[in-house]
Amino acid sequence: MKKLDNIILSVEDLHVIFKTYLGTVHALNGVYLEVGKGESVGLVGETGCGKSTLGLSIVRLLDESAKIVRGKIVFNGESILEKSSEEMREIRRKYISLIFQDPTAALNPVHKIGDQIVEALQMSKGLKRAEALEEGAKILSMLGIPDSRKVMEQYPHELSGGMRQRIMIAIALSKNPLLLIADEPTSNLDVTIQAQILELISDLRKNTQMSLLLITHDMGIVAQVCEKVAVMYAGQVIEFGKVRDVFKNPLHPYTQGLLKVANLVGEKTRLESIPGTIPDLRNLPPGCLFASRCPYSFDKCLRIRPSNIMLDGKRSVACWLVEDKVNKFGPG
Amino acid sequence: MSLLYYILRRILLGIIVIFGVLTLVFIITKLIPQNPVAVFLGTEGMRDPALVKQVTEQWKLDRPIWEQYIYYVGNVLRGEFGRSSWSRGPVIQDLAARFPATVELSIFAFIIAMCIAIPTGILSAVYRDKPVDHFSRVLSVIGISGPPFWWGILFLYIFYFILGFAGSGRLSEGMTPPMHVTGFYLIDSLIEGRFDTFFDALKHIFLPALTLGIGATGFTSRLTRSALLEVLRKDYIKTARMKGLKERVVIYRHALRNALIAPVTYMGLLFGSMLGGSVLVETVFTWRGMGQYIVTAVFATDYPAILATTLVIAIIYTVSNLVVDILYTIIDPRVRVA
Amino acid sequence: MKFDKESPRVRELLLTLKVFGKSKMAMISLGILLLFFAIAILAPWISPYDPTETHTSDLFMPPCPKYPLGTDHLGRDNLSRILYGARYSMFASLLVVAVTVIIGMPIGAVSGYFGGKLDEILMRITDVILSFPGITLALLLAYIMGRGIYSAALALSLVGWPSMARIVRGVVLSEKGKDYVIAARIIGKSDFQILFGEIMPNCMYPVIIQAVMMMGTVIISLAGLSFIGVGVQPPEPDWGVIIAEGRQYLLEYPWLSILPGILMITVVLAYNLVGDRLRDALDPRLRGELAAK
Repeated sequence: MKKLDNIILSVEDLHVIFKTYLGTVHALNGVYLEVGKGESVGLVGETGCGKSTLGLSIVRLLDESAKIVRGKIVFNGESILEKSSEEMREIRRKYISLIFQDPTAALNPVHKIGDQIVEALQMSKGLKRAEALEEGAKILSMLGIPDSRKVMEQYPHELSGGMRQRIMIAIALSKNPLLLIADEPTSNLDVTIQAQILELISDLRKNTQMSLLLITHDMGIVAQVCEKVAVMYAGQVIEFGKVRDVFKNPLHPYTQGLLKVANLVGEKTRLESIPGTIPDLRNLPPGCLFASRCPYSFDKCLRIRPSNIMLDGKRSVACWLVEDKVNKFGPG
Repeated sequence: MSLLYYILRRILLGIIVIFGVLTLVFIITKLIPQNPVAVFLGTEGMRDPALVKQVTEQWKLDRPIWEQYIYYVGNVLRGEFGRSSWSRGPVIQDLAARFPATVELSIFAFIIAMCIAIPTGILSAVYRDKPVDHFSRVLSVIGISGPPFWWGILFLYIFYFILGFAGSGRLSEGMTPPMHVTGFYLIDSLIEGRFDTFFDALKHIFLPALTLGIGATGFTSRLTRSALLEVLRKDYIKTARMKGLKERVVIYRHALRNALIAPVTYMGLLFGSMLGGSVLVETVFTWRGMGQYIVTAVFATDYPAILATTLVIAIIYTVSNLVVDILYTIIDPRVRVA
Repeated sequence: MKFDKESPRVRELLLTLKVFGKSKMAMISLGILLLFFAIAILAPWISPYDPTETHTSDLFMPPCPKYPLGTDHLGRDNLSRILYGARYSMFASLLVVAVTVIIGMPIGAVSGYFGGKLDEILMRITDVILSFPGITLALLLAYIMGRGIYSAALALSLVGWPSMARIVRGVVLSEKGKDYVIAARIIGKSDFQILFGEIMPNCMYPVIIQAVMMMGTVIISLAGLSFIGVGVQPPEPDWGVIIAEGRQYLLEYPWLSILPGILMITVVLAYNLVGDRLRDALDPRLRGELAAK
């Protein structure tokens, strides 16, 4: 039991499958992750690598067809996977918030904005309706939404994407969560608003002890906002560590590839393609999931799957190349 | 503001459609092979040329078509549907007597259908793939697949002949109808305070209403189920759960309002088709409504009656579709654009 | 059209059939439909008696070796009547749906493709027709055209084409802007050629599904019209007619009326199940999933 009081979230060897008509999809294949209290961790990877699935798993809001088949999730010292649905509900009500990728889909189209925010405030802070309306208007203004009273009377489809995103954030923050999981909170927005929102989130984190798990495919944002980063590939966290360390000295070939093609100049970056494709999640190879695209793969890589090799308390990589490095050189 | 505007526009459109309906019925009138005068006067009356001339002129049948059309529309607007060649009474009177029967039946059928279909649909979705789901699926599919008039006969056999439950007609033999206020026996008997009549009428309306609504029930149940299942997968449901709401609240406040849009709209349309389908059910249960009226009129070649009834049915149908459309915009704010 | 094994359309067809074939229910239903069609075709040869032939000494017989399903109030063999009745249900419905497609598809296509005033007018017409509940209008039309199976069939077609037209129109509208249409225009194909050569084939799938789903409703409606008396006329043995005639004797001989209904449910159910599965099989999203199951 290491340093419990500093860690708000710890994910160990998480395996999640989806049962579909196409067969069983192995969405998460042994995820290891740690978020410290007040820390912000970025979660990056290509589309389909399982980032969103991981986010949903932590709050146990996966679809019916999904199953968590192995692993541990410990939040605030308690094991999430053993909670009853009532207990989960409480945790969601008070401690964890999730910002969804698509703000349009995440807001109920037949309810007014005001009602949706009020509902969130009533659940999290137990406010009465009138108080909640006040508070809601305040939060919206804080998020840079002009004319918040008017907006509260409108419906989601009447607002722009940027506004909807901010309302999503408002709802997520209405409870002062211990952990905020933000799934692509700025992907659909233009650069200026993106900057505003990131700043807002940073401010909030400064004032509270809120931890942040930022899911994104934009390396630039991670560099800006996060202290640590976890790189995901095919349902695994293949590298984890301080942003500085990982970006300056990436150890996993995949991370190296990502950074090579991503242009870290503060502009919005897109993960360019690395030759090859991700493995078929229904039919995973026995060895390393990246082996087929890896320029350095050797025999062991194809046979045994590497996982979460710790370099020290703060850095881990899932790659056999590193094994030797650990022995020879110590932490990079 | 925009809601009102939208409603007014829809009503205007509805009126245009009703005029289209009027015109269509008029065209049909002109297509009927028999000479209406001959039908009215009978072979006897046709032998008298003065009488024939009188009737022809009275009905403006010697005028050009467009003049006849205007005369026709004027008549319709005044409720002047002519005289039934069979009952010899004014059609409007016959209709007035029959109209409440059909409407009462349709409304009751609609209510029963909704009360069965929507809860079963919801249960099927919430308890997906469990016995409840399979059971309701089988029932729904069988319900849709059988001809309504046959279901009526089957029900009659089981409930009336075997179990001695209410038989045909709106009331039992020997039971006098309540005083006419609305024409709806269920309401009128309550107004009059005659509970025995009320329960008798209730017993009698139950089977035909069930029969009339069977197809609609099965269909709506499945529709509700699939709509709810789809809604439950949406992100905003996750948002609701993320707020920590109780599952029941998530379903009632968030899911249902979205999921029921499709079934309710459909049910509204089905109400209209229930009016049309009442033709068969009324025949089976000897229900003295417009459906049965039109059938007897067809066989008696009583064409003023036929046309008048068709017109009334078509208008009610159009109006009910209109109401559904408007309800739809009230429920789903997204539709109110343009 | 060449049957080229590699062509995408053929591959799509084969995949569709494969997915369809995977469902036991759908295959059983298909089998049932084929069975009923076979019965309908072979009725004259497999019926023990002429269905209209009365045996006045054998009224209301229960099932026995001489009359496998018994006889009715006029001494006619029930089995023969039901076998012959299948002909009306299976074939007349086919006729109705065929005519509905023949009328509805071109109208919908033209309306969707050319748009403008033509579209407006055609859609108003469909609105007006759709503003009548189906049976009422069919009743009226059957009355005008004289009672009988053909009037009833035509009436149902006239009532049914608007929905078909609407569907086709929808498909055409969404196909209109697609690349292959623009490409064809560039080549210089005439509107007619584009509409009937390029777009129409893409409408086939929705039309087929709609047609199959319609079959069930049409069978029920036809029986209904016959039941009232404006469809098949007695003594001809349509299932609706049989039910109607058996009604008077419901108390003592319920089977006269009940049996045809059970058969009708079977056929309609089969059509519904086939149509359901067909629709899933043709849905490009579901198809991939279902194929690999």
